[in-house]
Amino acid sequence: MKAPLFFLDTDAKILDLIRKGDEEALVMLYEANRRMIMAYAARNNGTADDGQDLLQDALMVLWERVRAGRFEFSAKLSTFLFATAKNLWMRRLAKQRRESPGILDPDSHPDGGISLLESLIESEEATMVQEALMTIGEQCRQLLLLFYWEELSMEEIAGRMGFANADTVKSKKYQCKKALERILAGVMKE
Amino acid sequence: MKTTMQNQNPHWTSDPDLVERYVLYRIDSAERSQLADHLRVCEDCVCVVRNEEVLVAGIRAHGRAALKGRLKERVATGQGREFSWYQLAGAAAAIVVLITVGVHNRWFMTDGVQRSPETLDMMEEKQSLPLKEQDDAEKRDERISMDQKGEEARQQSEGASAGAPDQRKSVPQRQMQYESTPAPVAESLSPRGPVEPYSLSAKPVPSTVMMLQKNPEVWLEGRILEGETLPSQVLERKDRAEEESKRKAAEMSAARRSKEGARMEEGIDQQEGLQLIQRPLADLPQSQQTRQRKDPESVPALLERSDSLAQLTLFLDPLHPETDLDRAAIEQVTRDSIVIDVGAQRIGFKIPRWVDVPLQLRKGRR
Repeated sequence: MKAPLFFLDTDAKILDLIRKGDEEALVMLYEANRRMIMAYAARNNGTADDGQDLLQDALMVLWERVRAGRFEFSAKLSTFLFATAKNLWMRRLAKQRRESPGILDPDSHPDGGISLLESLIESEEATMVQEALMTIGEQCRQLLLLFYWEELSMEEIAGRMGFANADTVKSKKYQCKKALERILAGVMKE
Repeated sequence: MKTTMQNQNPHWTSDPDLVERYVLYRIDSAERSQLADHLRVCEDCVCVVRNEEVLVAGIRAHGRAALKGRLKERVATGQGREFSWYQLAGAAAAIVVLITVGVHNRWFMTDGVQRSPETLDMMEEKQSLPLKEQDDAEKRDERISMDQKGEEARQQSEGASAGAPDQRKSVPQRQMQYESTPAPVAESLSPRGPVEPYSLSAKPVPSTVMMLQKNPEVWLEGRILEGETLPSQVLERKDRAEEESKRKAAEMSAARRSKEGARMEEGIDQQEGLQLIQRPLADLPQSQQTRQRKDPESVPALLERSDSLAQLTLFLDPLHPETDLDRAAIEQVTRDSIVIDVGAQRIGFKIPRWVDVPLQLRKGRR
């Protein structure tokens, strides 16, 4: 069944804010969906903190997908957030039970589904990368974030960071990535 | 674009750009499917892809953590409490609805007297009935009220009063209500000239005054009406309403005859009519004297009713000669307003609709 036009209009406005990078959209979504997600967490033996954390993570997934242009607007945002929170919660429960999270199809991106990459974000390995990232220079960290997280194009990054052109950015990005890998390799050896 | 098929190296993962595009979902699904097929038979390639995925996941985790921290901070500091436009719109709509309901209740559902929801329901039911059935309904109401209130009514009746300061100027909504209603009876035009378009009101009194027969006292506050010329629009409306008024008067007369017949059957004393009495202001109870001093233009009156007697005592100075009282007349100008013509005075009273006031004065001993 199609969502009411009223909600579609509201969701469209929020999506537009996210595309523009306005973080107020996240606050609006947080307030609008907090009760629902908290209630879900409570029903599934989660705490209030779990509920808040779930909603924040679901919002991050939405933010990343919309910013990267990988979000297909086929349902209400609240539906997407609820499905995402539910999947995140199931994965956490599986992790607590030391069960395999199951085979994830990296190609599949159904609404609310968690991709392999998204699931890796909560892994210990990703935490190590995060720590390594803190040790490289500010410019490199900023560039890598713009490219891999914000998923901006080389041209956009050049404009944002004041580089001469896209080729310069590409070269700089290669150097920064190699630097990060070296730090990471050192950490792995330890 | 370089793909597996185009590469000399059979392991496509040796191309860092391709691995990056694969991990970031920046290749189309057909090509991606081909690359995924190769991963099923190349463990080293899986490791390369996996390392890239972890690297990207770690960078994203960093960005996500920073954004999440900002979100937490905004929510915690209350910035997130700002209402969105649709929440504000909803709240505004709710306020408008509440105000509308309040105004409606105040303007159209009260005549200055507080009533319980049950009473309002009964009154609504009564108004939809023919006159004869209204009489029956009123009797039923009185019985119900008597059962419900009992002794409490007697205690409250002393404090119950009717009448209010002159609202001709100060309470336009009452005027509006009257003006929107055609003049109800032909008698509204007095023999001495047109009746001023006045507005009378009863001050809020407990709903127990409904039990007038059981608890037969209610204080009314009269207004001495000046014989001013009516505004032309009111006169026009009165002309238009004259025929309708005559018809209603005939209906009321028939209903009254029918009521009398019913009372005869019940063996009730048939001495019908309102006994008019006058007393000096000095005889007013203390509470009513205070009220009268605040509004010297008012004419306090005590309406007393028993099964066989209705009596209206006017408190005024100076008193009218007895002959004036003998020649006094009563007329109903609206459903809930009456005018007493006594001597040179015309005194208007607002009567709660459930109070049954005889519309003829009884002559005789006072």
